[in-house]
Amino acid sequence: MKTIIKIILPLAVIGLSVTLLVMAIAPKKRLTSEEKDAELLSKTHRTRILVYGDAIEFNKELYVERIVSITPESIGFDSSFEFEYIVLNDRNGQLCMTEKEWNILKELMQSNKHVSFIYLGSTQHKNMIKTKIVDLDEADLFSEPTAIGGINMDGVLYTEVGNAMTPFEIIHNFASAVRHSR
Amino acid sequence: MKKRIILFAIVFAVLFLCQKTCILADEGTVHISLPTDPNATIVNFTKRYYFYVRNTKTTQTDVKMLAALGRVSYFVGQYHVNRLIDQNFYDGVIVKVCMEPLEYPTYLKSNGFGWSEYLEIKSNLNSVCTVQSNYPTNSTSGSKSYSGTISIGSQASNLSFSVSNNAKYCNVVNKSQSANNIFHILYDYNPPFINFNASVNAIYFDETWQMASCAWTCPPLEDNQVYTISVKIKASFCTSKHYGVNWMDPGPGFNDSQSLLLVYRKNYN
Repeated sequence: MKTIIKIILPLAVIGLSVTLLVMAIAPKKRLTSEEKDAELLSKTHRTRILVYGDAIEFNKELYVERIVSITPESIGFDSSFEFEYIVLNDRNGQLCMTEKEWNILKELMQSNKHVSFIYLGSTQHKNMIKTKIVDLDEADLFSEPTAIGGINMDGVLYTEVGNAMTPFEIIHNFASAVRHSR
Repeated sequence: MKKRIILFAIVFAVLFLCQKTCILADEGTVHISLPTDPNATIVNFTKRYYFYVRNTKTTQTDVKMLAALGRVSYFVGQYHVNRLIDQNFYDGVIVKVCMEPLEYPTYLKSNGFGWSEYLEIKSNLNSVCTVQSNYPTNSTSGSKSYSGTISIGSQASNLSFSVSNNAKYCNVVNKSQSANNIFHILYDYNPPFINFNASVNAIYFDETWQMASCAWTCPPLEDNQVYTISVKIKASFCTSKHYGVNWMDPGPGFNDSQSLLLVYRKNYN
C-alpha cells in the first residue's frame, strides 16, 4: 500500500502540475470583444435578453427571447438567470409604449436590481423623462435615434446616453456594466 | 516522503495561483474616484454619456466599415460646497473622460494602434462670479484645454502629451490648487507602460481617464442669472497605417459643434 502511495501520489501531483503549467504558458486563443461579451453573458453571468419591438440578430451564444408586451408577467425576473436585459428596439419609430408600460418597467427595476434596459430610438424619450425611469430632463431630448439605458449596477441605477445601435454595441454596453459591477 | 508531498503541494499551489493570475490579468476595472470632503456635495455622477467611434475609412481594408474601433465614456458631475467661503458660494463642475479600444489584436497585425482624446472646458459665468484658478482674474469667460495621446506599436508603446493653455480661467485639475486644497482632487492619469503589451485587450478605463474641473465663487444670484459651462470632448482611434488626427462626432444629442453644454440656473439664496 505504502509503495503504491509512494509511486502514484507523486505521479498524480506531477501530472496535474504539468497540465496546469502547460495551460498557464500555452498561447491562448484570443477572443474578440464580441466573443468575450457573449461568453460573459452566456456562461459566467447568465443573462436573459428580452427584445421588445423589431427583432435584432444577436450573437448566437446569447439567450434571447422576443416579447410582445410589457407586463409584470412577460418581463418578470427568471431566477435561473443572473441578469435580465430588456432591449426596446424602436429604431423604425413603430414601437407603441404607453406611460403605463414605462411605469411597469420602472417599478420592476426598482424592486429588482438585476433588471436593466436599453431603449433604441427617438419617439419615446418624452415618456421616459415623464416617468423618470432615467435621470434626464427636457433639455436632454434628442431628435435622432439615441440609445438610452437604465443600468442597474449593484442596486444603483445609472443612466446611459449614447450611440450604440449595432448588436455588438448594445451587448457590449451591458457586458461592460456587468464586468465592472462585480 | 512527507517532505516530498509538501514540496509537491507547494509547487502545485504556486502553479494554481499562477494560472488564476493569468486568467484574471485580462480583466479591467473601473473606478470613479471622486473628490471627497465633508463640506462638499457631489451630484450627477450617475449619468454616463458615451459614443462609439466607428471606422469610416474605405481604404482601411483590415477593418470593416463602420466597425466599432473604440468607445469613449464621460461622466459630468457638479460639486457644491455646503458652506460660504469668504462670503461667497463655491461651486464647480468636474468632467472625467475615458476611452476603451476594442478589437485590439486585429489592429496589432497592421503594426500599431493608437488613440487620443481631447478635453476642453469652458466657462461663461455671470459677471459677479469669479473663477478660481492659479491666475485669478475678474474676467469671467475663457477656456483651457488639455490633450493626451497614447500610441502603441507592435514592439513598444509610447505616450505623449500636449497641454494647450489658451486661457487662464478653468482648470485641468492637476493645476487647480484651490480645488485641490478644498476637495483633495488628484490628477489620476496613470499611463500603463508596463502592462500595455501584456494585456492589450483589457479595458483601460483607469489608465485613460482625463479629468477637468472648473470652480468658481458666486454671491447669491437671482433666478434669471445664468451661467454656462460647456465641455468639448473629441476622440480618435487609428491604426498606424492611417495614423492622423481624425476627430469623431460625439454622437446624437450634441449639436453645438461636438460640445456638451451644461447650463446651470441655480439660485443659492
